[in-house]
Amino acid sequence: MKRVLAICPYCGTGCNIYFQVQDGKVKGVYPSYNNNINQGKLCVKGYSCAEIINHPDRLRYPLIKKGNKLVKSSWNEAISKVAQKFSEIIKTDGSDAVGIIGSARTTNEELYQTQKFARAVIGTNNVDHCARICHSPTVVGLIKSLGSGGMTNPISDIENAKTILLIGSNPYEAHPIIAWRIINAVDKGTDLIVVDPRKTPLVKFCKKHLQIKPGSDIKLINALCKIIIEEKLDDKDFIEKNCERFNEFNNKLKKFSLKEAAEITGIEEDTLRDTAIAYASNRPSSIIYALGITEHITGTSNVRALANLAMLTGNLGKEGTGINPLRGQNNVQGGCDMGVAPYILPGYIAISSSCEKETEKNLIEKFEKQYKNKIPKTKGLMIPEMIKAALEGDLKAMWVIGEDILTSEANRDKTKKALKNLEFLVVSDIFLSETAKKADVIFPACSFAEKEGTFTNTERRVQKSNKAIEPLFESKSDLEIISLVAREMGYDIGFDPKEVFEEISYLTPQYHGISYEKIKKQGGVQWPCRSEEDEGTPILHKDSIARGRGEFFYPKFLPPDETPDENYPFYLSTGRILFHFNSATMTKRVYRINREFEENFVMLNPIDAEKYGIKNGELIAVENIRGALLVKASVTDDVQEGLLWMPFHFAKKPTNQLTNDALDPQSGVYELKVCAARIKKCQ
Amino acid sequence: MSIKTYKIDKSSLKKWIEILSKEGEIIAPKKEGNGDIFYSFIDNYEGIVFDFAGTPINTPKDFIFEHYKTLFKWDFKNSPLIEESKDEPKKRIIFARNCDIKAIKLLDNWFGKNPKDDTYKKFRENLLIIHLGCSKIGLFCFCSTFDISPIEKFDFDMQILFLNEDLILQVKNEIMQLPQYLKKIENIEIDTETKKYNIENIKNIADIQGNNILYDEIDRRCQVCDGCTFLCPACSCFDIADFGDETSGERVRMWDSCLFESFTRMAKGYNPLPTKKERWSHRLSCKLLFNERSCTGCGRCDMSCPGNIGMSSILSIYQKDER
Repeated sequence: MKRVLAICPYCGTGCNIYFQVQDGKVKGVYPSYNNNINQGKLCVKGYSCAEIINHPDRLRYPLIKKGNKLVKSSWNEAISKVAQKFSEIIKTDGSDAVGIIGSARTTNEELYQTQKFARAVIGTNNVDHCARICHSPTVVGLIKSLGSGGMTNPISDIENAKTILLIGSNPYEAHPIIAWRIINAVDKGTDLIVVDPRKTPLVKFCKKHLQIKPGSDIKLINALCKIIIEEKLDDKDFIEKNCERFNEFNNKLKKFSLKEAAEITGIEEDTLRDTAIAYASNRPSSIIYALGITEHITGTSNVRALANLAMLTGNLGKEGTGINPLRGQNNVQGGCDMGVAPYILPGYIAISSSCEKETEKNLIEKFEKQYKNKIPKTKGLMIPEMIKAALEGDLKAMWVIGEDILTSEANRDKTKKALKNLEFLVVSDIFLSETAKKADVIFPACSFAEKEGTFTNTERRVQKSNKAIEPLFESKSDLEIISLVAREMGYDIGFDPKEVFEEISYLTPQYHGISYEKIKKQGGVQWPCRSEEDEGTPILHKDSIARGRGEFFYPKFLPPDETPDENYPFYLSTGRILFHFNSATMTKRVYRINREFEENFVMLNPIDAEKYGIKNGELIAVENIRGALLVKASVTDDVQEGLLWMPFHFAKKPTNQLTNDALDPQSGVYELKVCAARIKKCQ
Repeated sequence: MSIKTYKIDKSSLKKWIEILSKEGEIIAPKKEGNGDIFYSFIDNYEGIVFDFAGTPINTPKDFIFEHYKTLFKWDFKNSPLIEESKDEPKKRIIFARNCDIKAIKLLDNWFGKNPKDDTYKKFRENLLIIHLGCSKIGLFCFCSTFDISPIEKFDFDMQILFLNEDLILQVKNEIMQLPQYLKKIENIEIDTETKKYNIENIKNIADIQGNNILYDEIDRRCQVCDGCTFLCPACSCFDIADFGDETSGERVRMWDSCLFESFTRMAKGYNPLPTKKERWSHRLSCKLLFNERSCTGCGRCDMSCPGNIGMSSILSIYQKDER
């Protein structure tokens, strides 16, 4: 029996776990106590993640589609088929006819090689990952406002806040161990303010719950800013020293109507005032947010609105303050850091055709020297653009690594048609996901317990996960698979995790001072860490704002792309439940979890239920212009009148059949949090 | 029976462990990756940690009632027979905390009575237990609540403990050979105590209405992570499930938790304990009221609870809330 220290494979909290290995099998999972994150705690998903490793559904060998069937093949055959087909398509249609989707659940080393493969081997910037549909507005918005796209303060620092503004986030279910930090803070006297259209579980711990109307966040946040200035609670000293364009922002706010804000948000002006005063005066105050802020057509503006609020009150760069996005997958922060996005290189180095800035030019040259190849200078396609290009026939081939885009993207039918339209689809996964079923070639990837590498959690902490067992069956790590395909295409990409990490720290400014040794010695390193002596940066913007000066920006309110009308009188919102994770390819295979919850459902308010004569547990239809689903009704006043809410985990009754694929133009995120729908009683 | 008390030095302890490890597998607290302490098989003396406060993170359950236990396998493509898991456990010697040893005795009650659980029995019969007295009290310990002493006074065969700089061995039954170099000393009685909650009036704790403050707290705080069950040294509930299909697969017995809604849900969907409060009332009855109390105050549920509502917190709220 041995115990191997690793990182939990689910959300972005980055809980430290031990795999208990017995007779070559992972037979259990335990939390670690001595660390700065979970301190002996895990959530229900974490405790049983060992079941996934040993599950009989694991893909055992490569598969190639012959006729309509997926047939067992050798690694050699699968690798050469993929290499050959990619080369062919590059030759006839150009490099930009290929798109790569990386996985936020693979290691930094694997993500780094994913983008390197796209840029240096294929020759395209068409590389992206699932941050697109979660926190891309965070990265874009926070970089624009503050110069760095990360969570500003550590998870443990939440307990130092006197006021917590939790907006568009349900950590009790989506980040349970971060919820523990919030509960700890409340137990020690911190005031919690929750802004959410639903009564989420942490509402039972809050001082105030602002049950806003879906998609009205900008109105609410701007109102808070206006009131803070009116009440003279703004931190003038901080603004003068650290920010710019405040007057412009303030002038626009002067025309902002609080009365209208109250109407649109559904929150009375007095409550808005109390909230603004609490946030601005009972300091330090911390903002914690997640996808309820980002997954809107105004996602980036929503994030920038929150940045205004933090800057306005000087709640930045100090303990207990900050603007803290909670990242949803265990390495989605790493995915962004590693440049798995169509317009940045690792370390957020912007790619543009002009490359005006000398520093950027030099940095890109450093990459080109290392890659012994040119980096394409035109911006590549984001995932929604890849789907569109596939539909229009411009994108011919895709390699989807460890993501079930068919279940997780908005407007499922559109994604389905796009995948069908591709000439060649490659999928790497541990299970036969819905997306994998459509593939021409499937690579069996090994699981998180069968490889080593680093993961970067939501608080920018780079942590090491260790190999508990050798890859099962014929599976291989994504690092090795990428390397094999690249070599077959004539380009040498390494697959030793430590060597790859050394290349990452050489090229990525924020990771410059990070090494495997330092991670081990310190128990993780929070970037930026720029030199050997640097121990990392727990709190961002401490001495000065990363951007130099924080930029105030007046975010304009736009109503959701779809609002209820006569035909579709409800708002439909979506999210996660405690027991499942994203497309549930993993959690639905965990016995106790699936026993607890295996079916999709829709939450609706008792008043609406009565209007339609619907009983709790009854099967009803939820419909809109994109599709219809039959699901169980869960009648609860956790949702307000006029709002429906569904989890998006269940591929059998996929909620994303209904969601809207309208985009935030700045970040490319879908408006997954709001669309219009109706319900029907089934006879 | 009288207790003989000896002083031993470290080199003699080391030799002793080496000799014992020839007799069987040694299970003792050991430091893992982040410096966390776990009950582990010990290869050599250097890995052992005797001088620490509180309990290891895992429990002796790992060695007698595993989280996932394969009962049998089938692979009809290759053989028409079902392959039963045959365990032939070696003799094992575990150095364990008193709270965990009392918990093993509770497990014995459940798994050891007729009909005996075969797998459990095999492992249990081959397990020799040495008490590892607590000279330091952990942050979450409250064993004294249930009249369990951090350093056992009488109910042991052999007990080892650190006292200041000295290593003490107490022997009541010589269940295995003793270290070579021993210095007999006077018997010592040490009075240590962990946190002690008043549980005299505990019999009303299952009453949800009568303890609404407590149950409201539990209701909003319990995230159903099930850490309190999985890390409990005395929780014994399990479920049995098949992994695989008609051709090949295995039947596995795995830990379960009474806090899952699906734990008590019946085949047609009816649930006799439909709310979290009812499930907790049931859990607290099991832990504090039914038969022998099946909580030993190890504190792991408080250590692992992401809602800060482990047993210590519950008893403390109950005490305050008592009318």
